[in-house]
Amino acid sequence: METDFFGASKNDRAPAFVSEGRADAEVLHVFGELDFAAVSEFESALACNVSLGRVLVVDLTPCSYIEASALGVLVRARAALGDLLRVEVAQGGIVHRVFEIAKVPHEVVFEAAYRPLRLVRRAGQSGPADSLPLRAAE
Amino acid sequence: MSQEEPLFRSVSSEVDAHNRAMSIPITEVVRELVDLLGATTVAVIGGVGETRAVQRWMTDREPQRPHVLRFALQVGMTIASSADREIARAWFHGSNPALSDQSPMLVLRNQPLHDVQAAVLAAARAFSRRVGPGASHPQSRDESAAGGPLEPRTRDGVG
Repeated sequence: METDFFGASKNDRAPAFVSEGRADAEVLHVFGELDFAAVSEFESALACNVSLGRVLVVDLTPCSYIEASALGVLVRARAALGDLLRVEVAQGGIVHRVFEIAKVPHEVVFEAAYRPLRLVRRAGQSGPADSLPLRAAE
Repeated sequence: MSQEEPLFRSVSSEVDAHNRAMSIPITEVVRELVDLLGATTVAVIGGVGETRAVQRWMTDREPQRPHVLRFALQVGMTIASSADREIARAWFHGSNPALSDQSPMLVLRNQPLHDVQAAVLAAARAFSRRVGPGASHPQSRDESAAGGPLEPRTRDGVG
């Protein structure tokens, strides 16, 4: 992604890819519109998150649009990774419809698949805040 | 039984939100944003590709776009002071008609802050007024005075 001095993307419609290491899998969250201009970046992000023997979850629940060539990237990735690749889409969205029509394997989730991590302070707990545990929000 | 206290602090006015977001250390800004929005969303707003970077911002690394994170916290506090925190999260993710149907989160990531600051703040104010308890922000300016919505753009950027 090309960025300016302050780190902002020069394409104001560019999607965002954020990877998150979980105990059971690597997760690649895709935000925004996955159009033709973003396909090569999407492919790179996928490749960067492939680890030997680890499940890779592509979270498309925050993705609002997917172009056919991006779907092609996922089909090729599925062929290479088999069951180690899981694709999650939000129930009822445009992306879900595209996957249904194209008959590309996917899992449907009913809400955002990622659970925001929250810092929690238990009553009576003291000490610096950065020593507090991070855990999934309920 | 343990009782959990969120790190994110509610504020009573927009001025409080601004003062707090601009005055606390950046590590604290990141912590409160993570508490409010989650590490994944903070990574998007902060312009990075992994949540691990966000974890580092809370300890020893300086984020590359601290001004954007401070502004996001200011906006987040403005919304969360009049709405549920879950609604504040949804606002950052949702396609916003006042921002040319883009999500505030991606607007903050993809565009220079000075270009979008007024529009994002105006959209947040308008939202707060609608979901909040009546006139909870008497000091709010009109949306038009704050810069109004972003110019509509087509998918290929021409328009």
